[in-house]
Amino acid sequence: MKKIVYICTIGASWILLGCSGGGSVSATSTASNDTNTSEDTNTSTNEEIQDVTPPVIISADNVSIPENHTQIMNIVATDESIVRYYIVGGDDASLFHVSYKKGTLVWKIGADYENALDKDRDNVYQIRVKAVDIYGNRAYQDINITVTDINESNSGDTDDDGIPDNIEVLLDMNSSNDDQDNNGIVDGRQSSGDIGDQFFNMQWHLWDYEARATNNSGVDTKGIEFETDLNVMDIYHKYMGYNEGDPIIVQVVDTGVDADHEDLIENMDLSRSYDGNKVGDPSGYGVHGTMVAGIMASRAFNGKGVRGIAPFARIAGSNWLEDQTVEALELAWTEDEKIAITNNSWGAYQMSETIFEDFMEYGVTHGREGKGRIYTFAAGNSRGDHGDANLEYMLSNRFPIVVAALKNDNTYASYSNPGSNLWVSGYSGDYYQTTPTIGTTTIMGRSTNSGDINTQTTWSEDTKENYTFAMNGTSSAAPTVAGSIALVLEACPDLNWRDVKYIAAKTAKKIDDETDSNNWVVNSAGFHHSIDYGFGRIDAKAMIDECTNGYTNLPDELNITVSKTFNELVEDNKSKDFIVSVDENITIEWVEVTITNDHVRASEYEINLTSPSNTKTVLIKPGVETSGSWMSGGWRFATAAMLGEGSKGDWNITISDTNDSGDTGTVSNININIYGH
Amino acid sequence: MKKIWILLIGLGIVGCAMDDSTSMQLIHKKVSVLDKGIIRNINVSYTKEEQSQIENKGFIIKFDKAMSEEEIKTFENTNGLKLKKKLHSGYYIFEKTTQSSMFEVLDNFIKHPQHISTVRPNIKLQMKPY
Repeated sequence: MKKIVYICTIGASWILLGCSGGGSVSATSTASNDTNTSEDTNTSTNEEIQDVTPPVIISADNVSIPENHTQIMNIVATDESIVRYYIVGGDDASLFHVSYKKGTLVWKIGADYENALDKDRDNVYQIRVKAVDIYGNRAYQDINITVTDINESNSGDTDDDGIPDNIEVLLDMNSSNDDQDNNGIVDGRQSSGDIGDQFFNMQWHLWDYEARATNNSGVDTKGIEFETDLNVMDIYHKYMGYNEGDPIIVQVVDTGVDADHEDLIENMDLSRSYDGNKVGDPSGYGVHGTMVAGIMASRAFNGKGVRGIAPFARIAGSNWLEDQTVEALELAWTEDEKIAITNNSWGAYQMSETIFEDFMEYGVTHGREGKGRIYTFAAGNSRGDHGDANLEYMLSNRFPIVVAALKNDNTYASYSNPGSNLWVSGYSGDYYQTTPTIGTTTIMGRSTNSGDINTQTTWSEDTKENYTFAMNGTSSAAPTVAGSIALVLEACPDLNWRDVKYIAAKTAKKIDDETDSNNWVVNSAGFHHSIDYGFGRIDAKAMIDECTNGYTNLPDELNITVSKTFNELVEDNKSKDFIVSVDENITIEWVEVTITNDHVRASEYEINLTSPSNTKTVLIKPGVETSGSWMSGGWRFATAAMLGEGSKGDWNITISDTNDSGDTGTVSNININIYGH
Repeated sequence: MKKIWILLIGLGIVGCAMDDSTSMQLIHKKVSVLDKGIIRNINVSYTKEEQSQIENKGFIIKFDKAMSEEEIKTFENTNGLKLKKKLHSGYYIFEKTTQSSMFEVLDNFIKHPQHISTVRPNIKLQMKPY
């Protein structure tokens, strides 16, 4: 075996440094001149030309594919060395992407027969591909891709197998046979064979009945009736995010998404994915975003690993967390009105800038043709450090849906931030060593099935190490809510962003109402709310039942602002009530209270808000791990707990100094800002 | 990671490690910004080596009124800035052309807002995955 060391200049198609072997020959290869091959102008030094024979492309040059498929074919070339693949021309080249290592050819956007995008609009797409071997020898092939029509209409689930008919058509299955492989398991619940998702039965958050909720953690909850899933199995008879061939688009703003992942590639929308601040491959180094993406929309019925909550939705990825410019965030959050939901499983501790809610305001105003993009956010993981979701302005405004994390016993995860601004809860788990956590995708080959490396541990059967069962944090709870909402928007596309929030609140499942009953309040409009759970666990089925049964969208949004100057001291280790009267009456959707106080250790305060209807919620508990007079410039707290109540009357803000430190503060001003209809 | 590799190869410094640990020490600075007219502090962290880069950063600005092209030109000339882009949400991104540091220009905005409602330095955020 010869040792070949290539020294490649920038622009090299491949980089191979220090290949081990017995000999010591260094090789030079110069790519031949070709006007089509700007991407491999590499110059390698090689004392001995190893090979002058070009690869031979043996895959088909004419393919026919039904519309709505993303993955087209694998371009295959034979050669004695490694081959890389590129799209180098053709009338429709810009619509396609090829994995240069594997030759997997995909649409960037997915073909729609009724809306042909090829140059001459005849549903025959033309591209030219190139295969290059490690010595620079190359071969070309022109490929014609013909798109055929399929029936996309949603006619339900004729064979009642948990897969809508139109998806069975898409997958070339028999929509009149509920058990195609005749193994006694209906097709929609398979976990083996060509259509089975291998680890579906481990995904307790999707289906708790007979699901092995152990995740190899040693905490086997099989057989225990917890009612601990997202209540999506019934929905799957009709909705999976496919949306009659116009898939719901879920965006993952995160560390990036492994766009070539075997269980994501069919659902990727590369025309709406971002590499920094430009449309492109959203892959990144960190695994976090790929895990989030898999929870929302990993593909079902493909014989691969896991199933997303909306398994036929499309994923728009962004690797923003790896290069966090404000400009790129604004672009990802606002640019494309087709993007229905943006999931954000990240944040900052104590942040009081409003620029980010301005970006979201644009999204809820212009997204989804004016109905508004939905923004889901993780509540944060710092409960152990007295964290609170009300310490982040990005979460304490009315636009996002802020999500707390649940374990599979329907109690909050030990790290999950409380907050009166929480909207709903989603599933996550504590830590996989102690409780079942979430099974999802990770960057291919990056998990381990032998050993413990925390969030990347996978099942022993995952021999290629492409998945993990250890995803946790409010990071994994948020996408369970985002995925659920994707199903709801397929069923009820006319919902405004406020309606989505309202219905989520109205239908959320009240949980853990015995062990932490003091944290639940039932307001005068009948809504239950908790600073640990928001309105409760998201329930996609109940949301769809609500929105498909005569629901009328909320009236236009109204806003009341009342500001009152006090200049009153809160004595050391004592409480004081501050009353702000509101004269106008609207039906409340969201309340913000901004308090200006000069206490040098404002974290000594507990602050409670009582509405005119006598609903009480905790705006902040004492002990927040931050020092200084952080309320001196005014700090905005928010609450969802008064949803549906009337605004008119006296609002009581009780500020309690809980420490006899000798430090006191004076409340100079309180501003109440109420949104509703 | 792929970007780092390309950069390293391009510079021909594969495998070189920094041995000056002091240059990696972070400088933490509290910086006052305007947020809807309210002065707030944000934390800016950088290494000594990044100092000049940070000092040359531009700004993200929202005005409290609709700005005409002429007014933007005047704003650029007054403050030694150049408009790079207007974002969907109505924010403007300005690059800095003046010799004054980003911190000095920001201080001036706090003292003389010139219809600025919100301004922050155009530096990268430091959000953490949850």
